[in-house]
Amino acid sequence: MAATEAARDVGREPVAGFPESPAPSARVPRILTSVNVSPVETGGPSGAADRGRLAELVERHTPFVRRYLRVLGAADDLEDLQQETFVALCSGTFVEHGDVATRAFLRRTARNVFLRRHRGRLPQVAAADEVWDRRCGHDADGSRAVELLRECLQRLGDRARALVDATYRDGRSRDETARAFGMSPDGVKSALRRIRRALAQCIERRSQP
Amino acid sequence: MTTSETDHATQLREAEERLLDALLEDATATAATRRRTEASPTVARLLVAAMLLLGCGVVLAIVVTTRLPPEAVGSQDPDLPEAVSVRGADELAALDPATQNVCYTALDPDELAGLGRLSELRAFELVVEDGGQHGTEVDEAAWREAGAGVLDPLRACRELRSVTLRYAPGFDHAALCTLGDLPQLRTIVLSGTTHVVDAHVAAAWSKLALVRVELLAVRVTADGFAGLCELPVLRELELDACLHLGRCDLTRLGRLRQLRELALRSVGGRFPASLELGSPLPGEVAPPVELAGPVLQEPEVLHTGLPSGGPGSLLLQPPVMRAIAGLPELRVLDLTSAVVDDRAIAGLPAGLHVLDLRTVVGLTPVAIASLARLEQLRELRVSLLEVAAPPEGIAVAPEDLAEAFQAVLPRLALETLDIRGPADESWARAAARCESLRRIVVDDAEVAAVLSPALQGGDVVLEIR
Repeated sequence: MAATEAARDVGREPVAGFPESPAPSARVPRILTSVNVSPVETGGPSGAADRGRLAELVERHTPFVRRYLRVLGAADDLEDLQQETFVALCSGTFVEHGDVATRAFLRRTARNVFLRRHRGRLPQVAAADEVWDRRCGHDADGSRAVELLRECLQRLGDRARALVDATYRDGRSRDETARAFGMSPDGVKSALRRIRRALAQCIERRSQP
Repeated sequence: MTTSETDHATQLREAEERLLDALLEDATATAATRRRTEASPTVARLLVAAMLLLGCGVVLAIVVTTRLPPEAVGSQDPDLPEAVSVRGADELAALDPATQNVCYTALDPDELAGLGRLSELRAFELVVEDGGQHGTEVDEAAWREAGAGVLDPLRACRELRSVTLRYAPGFDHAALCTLGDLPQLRTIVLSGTTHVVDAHVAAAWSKLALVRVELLAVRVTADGFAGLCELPVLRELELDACLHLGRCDLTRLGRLRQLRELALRSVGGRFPASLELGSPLPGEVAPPVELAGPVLQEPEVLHTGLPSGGPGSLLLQPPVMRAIAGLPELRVLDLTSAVVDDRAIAGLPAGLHVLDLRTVVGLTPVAIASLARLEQLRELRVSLLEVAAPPEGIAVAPEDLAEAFQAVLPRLALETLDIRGPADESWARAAARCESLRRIVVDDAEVAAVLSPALQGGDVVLEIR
C-alpha cells in the first residue's frame, strides 16, 4: 500500500492556493475497471491485459499532457514532468472512468507536479488554465486547436511555411534558420512574430461558431 | 489598470504564446512522427470503417502515434548530490542520516541493516567486496544465506529512486524482487552475471513506474525479457552484453511505446556468447571447462564481438528491427558492438536523433549509405577501429567504412559527429560538406591536431573526448 500512498502524493498533493482535494472516494467514482485492479492495489503482479491497458492510456493521453504542460510553462523539464504525471496513472490511485475523467485526473496531476517543481508560479499556472479553457475547452485535449492550426498553416505561403517547419518541426535555432534562408537572425525573429500573429488570428476566426 | 491586473494580463499573454508554441510543434510534426489521437471528422469516419474491417486493435495501433520530443532527455536526477562512497559497517554508521546518494561497498550482508537509518536516501549503489582488493575474500555463502531478504533494509528508504547493484557473488537473485516494494523507484541498474532477470523479477518490477532499466552482462530469461517489455512508462532501456538474449523474443521491444533511448550493445556479439557458456540460466548446467573454453582471452573480443554462428550470431533480424522502428518515441539508439547486416541498418527508425554505430560488426558501405534516410539524425557516433568479420562474410576494411561514412555526411543534417579512432584530414574535408555540422568529437589531441587545420575558419568546434 506504500506505493498507493506515494502515488497519492503525486496525484493529489494539496498545493498552496488550491483548495484541499476531497477524499479520493468522494472525487472519483470508484468504478472497477481493468486499470483499477492495479498491481499496487492487489499486491500481486498485474496481468498483461492491465499493463496493456495502462500503456494504451499513457499513449493516448501523452499529446494532451505534453501540450498542457507546455502551456503551464514546462520547457527543459517537460519530459520529467510528463513522466511524473503518468506515474500517478500507473501507480494504483487512478480509476478509469472515461476519457474526460482521465484528462481531468491528468490535468490536475500535471498541474500539481508542475507546481511542486516550480513553487511560486501559481499566477502563471492560473493564467495558463484560463488560456487553456478559453482556447481549447475545459474538458478538451487541445486536438481541435491543433486541427485548426493545421488548416491555417495550409494557407501560409511556401517561404513562411518553410520557416515555420524549420523552427517548430525541425527545432532549428534562429541562427541556423537565418543561414538557411539567407536572412539575418533578427529578420527571422520578426518574420516568425508576424507569422505567429497571423496564425493566432486565423485560429481565432475559425474557432468562432 | 492596477499592478496586479497588469501582471495577470502579462501572464495571460505569455500563456497564449506558450499555447501557440505547443500547437505549432504538434501541427508541424510530420505524419510519421505526429503525436495525435484525434482525427478530423472525415478521417474519423474512415477510421470507424477501418476499425470494423481490420479490428480496433490494429487501427488504434496505427492511429495512436506520437510526435518527436525536442531532444532525448536522460532520467538522471539533476538535483541529486554527488555519491558518498563508504566501505564497511563503521563508515556506514558514521554517515549523516540525511545523505541522499551513497555508493556502499559491503563486506557482509548483515551490514546492510545500517541502511535503514538513511531515511532521505534517493540513490543507492551496492558493491559487494570483490575479494583481493583489500585482502579479503567475498563470503558467497553468507550472501546466499541472506537470501531474498538481503535488501529488506532498503524498504525504510522511502525516497529511494535509483538502485544500482554491481557484480555480487552469492547474491540471491530473489532479492531483486524486493526492489518491487520500493514505491518511488524509477531506475534500476544491474551489473554482472550473478544477476538473473526472470519472470518473477519482472513481475515484481512491474509494480513500479520504472523509467530506466540498465542491465550489463546480466542473465535474462525469455519470460523475464517479455516482462521487461511490458513496463508501461519505461523511457530508457540499456541492454549491454546481456546473456541468453538469443532465447528471448526481441520483437517484444515494440511494446515499449514510451521508450526514448535504447541501447543494444553487443547484441549478437561474441562477448555475451562466450559468457553464456560459463553462466547458464538457473536450472541449467554449465558445460565442462574444456568445452566452454577460455572466456575472453582474446583482447579484441571485448570490442569486436565476433560471433561464430549459433549463439551470438545475428539477433537483429528484420522483425526485430521493424518492432524497434515502430517505437514512436525512440530517439537514441546505441548499437555499439552489436552484430548487424544491411537489412538491420536499412530498417533503423526514421525518427532517430542519436545513433551509435561504434565497433558494430557487419557494417558495410551499403548499410552506411542507407543512413541518408535518417533525416532527423543530429548525432552520429562511428569508429574507425578494426572489427572482426560478420557471421557470414568478411569484415570491411576500416578505410572503406570511413569512405562510406564521409560520402553520406553531406546527406545528413548532423550537428555532432563523434569519431572513435585515428581520423585523418579526409574527415575534416567531409565535415566541411555537411553544412549543419557544428561539433566533432575525437579521441585525443593527436587526432585533433590532424583535423584542426582543415576546420579552421569554419563553424565546426573540435572537442577531445
